[in-house]
Amino acid sequence: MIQRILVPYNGAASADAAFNFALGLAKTYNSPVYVLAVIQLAEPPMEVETEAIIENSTQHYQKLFGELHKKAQAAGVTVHASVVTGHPEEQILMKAEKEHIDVIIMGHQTRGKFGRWFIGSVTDRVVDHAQCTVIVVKREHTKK
Amino acid sequence: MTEVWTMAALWVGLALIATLFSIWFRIATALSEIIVGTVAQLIIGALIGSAVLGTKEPWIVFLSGTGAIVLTFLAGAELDPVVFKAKWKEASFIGVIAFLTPFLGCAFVAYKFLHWSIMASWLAGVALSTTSVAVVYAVMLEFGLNKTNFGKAVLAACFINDLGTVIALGLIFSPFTVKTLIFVLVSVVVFIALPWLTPRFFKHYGDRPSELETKYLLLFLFGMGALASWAGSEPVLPAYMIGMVLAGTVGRDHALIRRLRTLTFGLLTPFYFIRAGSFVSVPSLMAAPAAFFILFAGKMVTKTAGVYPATKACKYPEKEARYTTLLMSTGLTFGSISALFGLTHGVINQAQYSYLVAAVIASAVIPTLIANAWYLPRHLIFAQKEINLGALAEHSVEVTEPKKEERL
Repeated sequence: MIQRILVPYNGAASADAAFNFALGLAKTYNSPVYVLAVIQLAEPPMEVETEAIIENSTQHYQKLFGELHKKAQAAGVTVHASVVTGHPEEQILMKAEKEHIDVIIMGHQTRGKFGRWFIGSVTDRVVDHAQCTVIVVKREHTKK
Repeated sequence: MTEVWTMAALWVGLALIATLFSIWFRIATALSEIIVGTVAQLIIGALIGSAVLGTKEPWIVFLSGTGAIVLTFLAGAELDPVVFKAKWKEASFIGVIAFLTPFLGCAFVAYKFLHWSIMASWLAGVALSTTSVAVVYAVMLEFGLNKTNFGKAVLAACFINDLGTVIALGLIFSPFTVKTLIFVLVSVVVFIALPWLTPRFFKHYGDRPSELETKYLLLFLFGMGALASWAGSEPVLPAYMIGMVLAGTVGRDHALIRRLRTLTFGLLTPFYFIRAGSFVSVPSLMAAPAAFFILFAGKMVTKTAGVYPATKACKYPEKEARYTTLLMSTGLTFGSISALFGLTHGVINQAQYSYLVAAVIASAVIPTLIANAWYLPRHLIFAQKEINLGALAEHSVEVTEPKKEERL
């Protein structure tokens, strides 16, 4: 039984694919979907710039959440969307623990070799450290 | 004018490159601009000649100085007066010690171990006494500690710490004449009058396309900056103070703050940070890296020697005490402003400036990494009932009813 689903969301096509996949699963199990967007600050955070990043990103995600809300309403699924600040993998794992999430559904990231080496993959880290099941949805999933 | 436009295109081009790097590597724009400025000066200086960047051109000096003034004002305006009033005793105690110990300690280290002159040593003390409010705020926000009594007190202490830095920068190198007295007296009058006058003036004449608010603020920032400069002081001192006294009024006007940020990040601060970076001498750093390590170690040791006992005196548990100590050892904005002040006023030479800027950058990155890796007080995050401080670390935005974003 899946009672709570978490979808980390960054507005990318892969995150949309994960959200659509989650809606299908939520409808089947009649479970709510928690959507989490993480604002990642520049390192090291600077005076004034930090506040600007948080404000701009919050507004950006509010718009995107509006679209997700419409999709969820059409599918008859309850969505709880929130924005947090921090390192994505840590915030996703903390949210999963706090909300007693049963399954995390994530989009598959496509990043070059240098990007993976320098920034790493959030998905890899969540899969490694999550206490619950993690489903990674390929972007091509929606096309099939 | 062709030369001016060409130079402007070069600087804005460098700013654009720096911004792209900051996006690709997820580093702060200011840090990226400092690095781009250093590298550009190195490459352009070697290929064409160091004069091409024109770092001493009056219009570049003006844009750069305005960048420092407006950035400092905005940093001061991020203060939350409500939190500050609630926590001022604890914050003042920790903040004053967090400023004084590295200020005196690093000045001693520079004088004793690096054999710098007395004034250069004081400047080193000022530049390394800072705390990065932004670093502390970001870490607090990430783990929800900004909503705890502990987090609020530490954040308020950071403002006190930086206030100590700008006061020291503004007054130590001032000649202390009648002009200084006039500057201090006028400042006190302006700082008292502005919180009363500004909201009333804006209410009557503001909120129009003519951007009256921006002109009003720039008038006071430039006016007080001119007075500070005339008295031999530093314009960022009144700018930070004006930001702090207007934090409860102008600081709450998000639309105005956003417009000022556009002006600041879009045009002004790139000139400031690229110029600051262009003065860093890589050959000097390579020739004597020990000076950088000594200054960096000096800051870490003196911050620890001051902040750790202060937090213990405030009865902070062991882990929170260590965590606070490391977070308050960070610093970038005011450190670089102080170092550039020293260089442009002939207090330090280019090699000393390079060591200081390198130590300031290292102090912005290394303590945060250590704090998060080993000393994060995780029980404050999860055990909400124990500390009775409300919800977890969430900058939450529900779809149907978005909350207003928190301010510092």
